[in-house]
Amino acid sequence: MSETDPANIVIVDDNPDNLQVLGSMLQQEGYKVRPALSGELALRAMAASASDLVLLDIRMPGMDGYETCRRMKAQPATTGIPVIFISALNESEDKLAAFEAGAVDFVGKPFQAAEVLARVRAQLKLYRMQQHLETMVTERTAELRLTCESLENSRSRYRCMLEQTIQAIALTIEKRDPYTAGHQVRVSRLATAIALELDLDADTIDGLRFGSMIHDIGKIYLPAEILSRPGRLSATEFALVKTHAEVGNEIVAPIEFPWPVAQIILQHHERQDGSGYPHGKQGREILLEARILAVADVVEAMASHRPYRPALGTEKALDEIRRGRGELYDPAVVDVCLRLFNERGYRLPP
Amino acid sequence: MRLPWERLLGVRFQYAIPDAAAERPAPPDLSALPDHLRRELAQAADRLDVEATEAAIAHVRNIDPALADHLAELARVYRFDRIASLLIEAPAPP
Repeated sequence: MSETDPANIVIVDDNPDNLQVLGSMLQQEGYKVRPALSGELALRAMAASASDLVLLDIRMPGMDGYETCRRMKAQPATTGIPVIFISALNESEDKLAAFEAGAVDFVGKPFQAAEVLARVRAQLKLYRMQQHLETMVTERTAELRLTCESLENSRSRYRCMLEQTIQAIALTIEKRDPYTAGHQVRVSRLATAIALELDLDADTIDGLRFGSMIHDIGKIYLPAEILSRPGRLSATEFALVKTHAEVGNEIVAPIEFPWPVAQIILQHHERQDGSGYPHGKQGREILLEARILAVADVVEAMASHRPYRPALGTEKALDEIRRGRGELYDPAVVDVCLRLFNERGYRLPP
Repeated sequence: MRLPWERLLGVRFQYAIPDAAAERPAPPDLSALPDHLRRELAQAADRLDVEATEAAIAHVRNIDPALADHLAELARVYRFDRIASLLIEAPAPP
C-alpha cells in the first residue's frame, strides 16, 4: 500500500445489509471495499490478495469473528493487518475477547458512521507508518548485510596479503641463514598448537602465529658470517646476536598490527626468573604470547640442526623445558607443550 | 388416518408430490465462457473484488446477457463464493 493508493478494506459480516451499509460508507470515503459473508471467505480472499484493514463482525454462522481473527494472526501474510471488531456484543468480556484474539479496536453496533470512519483512518495511518518502518528496516538490513559482506571480503583479502607479506619477510631472513631455514615456520606451528591447547581466543592465537613467523627478523641486522658460522660464538659475537630481539622490535614497531607483534618479538628471549634478555623481565611481566614463543623457540632450536652443533632431538629439547619449568619457562606453557608431544602425538614438521 | 377436516367434509384430499427437480431452475452454464474470462471472473471472485467482478460480468454480458444478469445478482448480494462454485462446476470448453 503506497501513500497514494486507496486502502483496501475487507468487511466481514454474514448480513448482506450490514455489508451494504458499511461498504457504501467506506466507498464514499474513497476506500476499496471487499465484502465477505463469512470468515472463511475473508481468509481465502486475503490469502489471494493482501488487505490493509479488516472490519470484522463477531457472531457469524460457521467460523465466528474471534476465530477468523486468530487465524489471521497465525498466518505471516496476514498477521500484521489491523482488525477492528464491529459488533452488537458490547459487554466488557466480548471486547476483551476481541482484543485477546488480536483486534486493534472495537466498535459497538449500532455505530455512528463518523466514529467508524475516524477509527478506520487512525488504524490505517498507524498501519502505513508501521509498514513504512518495516520497509526501512528491511532495506537498511539488506544494505548492512551487503556492507558486512563487502567488509568481510576486504578483511579476507587484507589478511591474505598480510600473511603473504609476513611469509615473504620470514623467507628473506632465512635466505641469509640457510641453516635455520624453516625454523620460524616450525616455531610458529608449535606455538599455535600450544595456544590452541591453552584454549586462547582466536585473535590472540593469530597475533602469536604472525609474531612467531617473524620472531627472528632482527637477525637481518647480523652479519651472515656469524649466523652461519660453525662452532661456538665468542662473547662479543653472542652479545651481537642478542641484539636481534630489540632490532626486530624496532623493525616491526612502526607497523600497526592489530596484535602486539613487536612486543612478542622483543620479549621472546625473556625468562621467568628475569635471567633473559633484553630487559630481564620476570613472570607475568612477560607477555603470554612471548612466554609461549620462548618455549616453542627453544624446543625447535634444540631439536633441529644448528651451524655450531648437530640436532639434539626432540627428547633432549623436551628435557630442557622440563628442567627449566617455572624457573626459565612458564610452567603452564611447558606442561601443555609436554602434553602435546607425549600425549597428543605432536611432532615438529620437517 | 384421515385428517379432522376430511372427516368433517367426508372427503379425502390427495396431495400432489412436488417435483423438486422440475421446480429448481437449472444452474447457469458458464462453460461457454472463454478461458481468459473464466480466469478473470474466478480471480475477482476469490479476492472479493467488487470492481473487478463487475468488469468481468460486463465482458460476460457481451457473450451471454442472461448469464451476466444472473452473475450480477449474485455479486449484488455478495455471493462471490457462489460465482466461484459455478465456475468450478462448469466444465471448461474443449
